[in-house]
Amino acid sequence: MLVIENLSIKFGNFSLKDINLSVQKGEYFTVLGTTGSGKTLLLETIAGRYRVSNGKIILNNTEITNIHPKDRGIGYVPQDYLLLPHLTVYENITLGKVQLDEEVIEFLNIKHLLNRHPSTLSQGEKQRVALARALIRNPKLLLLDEPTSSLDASIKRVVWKNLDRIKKKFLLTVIHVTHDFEEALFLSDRIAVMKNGTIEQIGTPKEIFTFPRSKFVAELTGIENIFEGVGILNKKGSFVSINQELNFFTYEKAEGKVYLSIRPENVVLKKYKENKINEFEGTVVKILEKGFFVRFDIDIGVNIVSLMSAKDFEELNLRAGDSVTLEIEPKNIHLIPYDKNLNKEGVEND
Amino acid sequence: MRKFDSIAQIFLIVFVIIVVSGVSSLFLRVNPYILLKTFKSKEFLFSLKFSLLTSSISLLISLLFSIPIAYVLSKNDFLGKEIIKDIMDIPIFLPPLVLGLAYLILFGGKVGSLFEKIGIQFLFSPLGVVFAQFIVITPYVERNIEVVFSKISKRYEFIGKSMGLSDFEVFKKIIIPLAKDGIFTGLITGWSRAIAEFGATLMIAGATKMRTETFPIAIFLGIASGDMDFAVSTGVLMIIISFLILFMVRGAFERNVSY
Repeated sequence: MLVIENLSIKFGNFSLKDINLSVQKGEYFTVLGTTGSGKTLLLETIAGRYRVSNGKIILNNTEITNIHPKDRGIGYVPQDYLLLPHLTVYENITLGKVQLDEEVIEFLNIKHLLNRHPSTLSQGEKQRVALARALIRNPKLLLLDEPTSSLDASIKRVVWKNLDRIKKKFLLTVIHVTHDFEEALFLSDRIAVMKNGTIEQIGTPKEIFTFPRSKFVAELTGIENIFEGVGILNKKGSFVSINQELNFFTYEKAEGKVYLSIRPENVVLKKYKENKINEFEGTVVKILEKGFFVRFDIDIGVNIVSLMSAKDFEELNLRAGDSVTLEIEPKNIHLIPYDKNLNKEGVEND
Repeated sequence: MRKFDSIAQIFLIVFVIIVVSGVSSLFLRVNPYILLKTFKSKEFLFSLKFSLLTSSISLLISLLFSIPIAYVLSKNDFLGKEIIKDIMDIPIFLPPLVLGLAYLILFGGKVGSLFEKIGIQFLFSPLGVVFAQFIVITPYVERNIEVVFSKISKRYEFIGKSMGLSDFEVFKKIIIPLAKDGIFTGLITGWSRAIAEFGATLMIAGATKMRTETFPIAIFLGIASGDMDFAVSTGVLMIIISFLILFMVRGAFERNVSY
């Protein structure tokens, strides 16, 4: 469907470097990254905004690298929707002599907005109009740039469901750019994580969530427990020593410097020791109740974060300053290759 | 802040008084009888028609040049752009009389002969009036349009192209409508300057009665021949007619802006 080969493009002081990816027909593909990672630049390059001198973009077996945007058959919904202020909703959608598609209009519930100007629409209405404008042209590929970034948190989930419905209804192939990992998890068949103009990892949401391949991806997916350690190989896996005091056992194999990552929800708290593997005694430093979940900061020699349900929290009856035992199953400890270019704070060294 | 506002308002009031006193001195110098007599005279009616015709033609040609020039200068960066912009500004900085003198010399030489061979004569002809107005007003018209073009995000152009529009369709359906205000302001500025143009017109087209006689030339000829009543009443009528046209055009434009 869409194949990008060795794409590099320079834009001011920023550049996309050696991008390679393929998106299958009917796939919902998300590009996840922080602000300034190059997500929008990648999307607009696919849509044809910039001239490409290095690399290829192939859509449905036709090279479209440098053809005019009008000839690409790509629908694009920008982050700020870019509805033309001098035209009505109807004129915005049909600009370029396109016939109005009643099915799209009905599906997106914008029939009552057709005679209005964009300045009189809410953010949600603008988004539906921008979507209709792209869908009405039967795009081979739909590009969505941060479609929920300007919406209230309460509306975001509704939009996610709508995007999922739209994709299924119109059998679309979608590339969706976002900085929100939860959004990517909800919608995607596959995710590409971008950082500084390069792709760090491509995989299914489960692969990205469970097996981040770099410290950056781990942090982006919400893993707070990332520690630098030294691995020693063992028959069944490896022991990773942190600060030469704490030894974690994992089924993954590594020798030498390595990052150890543990999802907070896999850190189990209990009152008493049971002499199991990966059990550590510590002190509760801080408790933060976040609705259904409670977040704990535990000092075991390093600060480790644990998440548990409000119900479990009630049963444990823990308070700040209490002693506690925590346990992490070896299968829930994931090792990430050590990146010499990163210091302890994850900032790139010069 | 209130004190500053009061001082600013004093400056505003003083300037309004200066303008009104100047204009009203013209109005007080004539009476309705003189005005009506001038208005009915052949010479005035000629200068009225001639001024409206030449200013409209020069404005149209100016617009034809200004829109593409403004587009090139606002949307592209290229080597020598600043120098070209400075050259574009020469007619603004140069006194119109000097500008007219330059073209008097140019068209009086070989270039003028070349044009005359194909039947085009700028010197001392109505065409010279149009040319003088065109060269004086174009930088003003272009600058107004350039400012508004440069404010239109390039992303609007891109979204238009992604919707299937060609480059020209994007220009026609997106850029021009979005720049409507700036183009209108440019036209009003240009027309006001065209109708009032004197120095360059005098040099290039001369001051010939009933031939190159625009409003300012008519006033100049009136003063030169000692007919102050004609000169002053022409000035008064020029002010009234210009204001009437400006109000009508502005009203029509504002009715058409619906977003």
